[in-house]
Amino acid sequence: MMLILCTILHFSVDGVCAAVLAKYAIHEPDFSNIVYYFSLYNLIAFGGQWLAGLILDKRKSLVLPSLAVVPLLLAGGFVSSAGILFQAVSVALGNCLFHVAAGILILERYSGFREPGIFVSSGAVGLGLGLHGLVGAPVFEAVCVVCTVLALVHVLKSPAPDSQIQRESSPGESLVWLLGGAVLLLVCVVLRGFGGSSRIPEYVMLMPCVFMLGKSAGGLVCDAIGFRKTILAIFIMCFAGLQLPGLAGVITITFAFNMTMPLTLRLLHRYFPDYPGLTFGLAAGCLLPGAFFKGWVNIAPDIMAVVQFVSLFVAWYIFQGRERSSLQH
Amino acid sequence: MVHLSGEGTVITTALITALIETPLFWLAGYRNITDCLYFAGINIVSNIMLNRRLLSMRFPSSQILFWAVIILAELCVVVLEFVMCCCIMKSVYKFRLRRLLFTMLFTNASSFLLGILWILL
Repeated sequence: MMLILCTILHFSVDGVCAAVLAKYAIHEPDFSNIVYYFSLYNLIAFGGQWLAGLILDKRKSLVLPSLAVVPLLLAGGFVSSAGILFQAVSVALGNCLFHVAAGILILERYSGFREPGIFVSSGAVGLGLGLHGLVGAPVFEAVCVVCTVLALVHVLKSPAPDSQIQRESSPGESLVWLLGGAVLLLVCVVLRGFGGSSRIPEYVMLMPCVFMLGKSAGGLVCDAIGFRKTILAIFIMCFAGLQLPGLAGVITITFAFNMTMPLTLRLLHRYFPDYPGLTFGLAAGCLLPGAFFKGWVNIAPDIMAVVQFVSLFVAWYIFQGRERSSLQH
Repeated sequence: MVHLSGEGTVITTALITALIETPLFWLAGYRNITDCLYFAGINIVSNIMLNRRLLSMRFPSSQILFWAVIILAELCVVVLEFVMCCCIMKSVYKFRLRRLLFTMLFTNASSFLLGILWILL
């Protein structure tokens, strides 16, 4: 139930933000202003998540209030008389808080790969619908309010049992190896920011659907066949995509790159189980280079596929070593 | 690895390389037939990727830099094949991973040298 509510919430929160910004962009004649406010939004919504995550990790009692305040912050996007600066900052803060608070709930209440994959998958569709004006911001806001209330009631009624929350202490772990593995995972996220966010103007909702399917499939496949076989399958899909011409190739590669999302997120959380908010925020923040520099920095997709594959394997191997080490102690 | 020039020869090159390297892999002690088939598949995939990348690259005019790029690309292939083997083969964990890495180096170096001999002769 919690997963379903958070998934719908993610869809509606991203939808509100995109619809508010799209409505402003349609009426703004100066393109540089549009770029400025979209960049500001991205910077706060994605770049601020690690800080918000760290605060919520330290003050767990603030997770539910943060979730409760999200619809209010998003409603700030409707106050057009306050100016676009206020609107952009308000929705960005709402988005930032939502991702971190809901991310903590999902990462702590579930232990598999499929749940973070399903949770994050819906955002792309909400973003696509809102950005292209296919669904209005008030509709998204209404869904957001209803789902937030239901999610809060659900969490208050059934707090997560301690057994479901992962607390793995490992006295033998080496911080250098842990940090090395975490950096490799974040490199994968940065590469996904460049390679996993293509746009096709003719079919505006095609790519958001591919993102959604890729993220969901990544988690589901990983839970079914295991981490190693999943990363190999992702690499083989990238290879197949590189051989396919035109749209089929782009869709296959984008799908495969998005499959890595739940893998990086869950493994990062397993590295630092006491910091679900920080890990979620770092993973989101590493998408920023792709959002800002995608047009300027060209990385060949085959090189990205190889680096992602090798990095994911090494990060998994380090984690396995840590597990063995903690069992021996 | 054997290197031929031209887009049309990429698949042929990959098949020839797999035909050279798979028996060497078997000779190195990996006698499981399924693993040998996986290794052949891994070789074809890595070789197609390598040759497509090399074909799309603009090489430096210096001979030393040219060979440096080729050897670096070969080392990347060794790492890629090693990781792919670790992901799919069960028997690799019976041996030490270091041994698998040396086997990858041995098979790739052998086919690389055979390729150079082929070009020279």
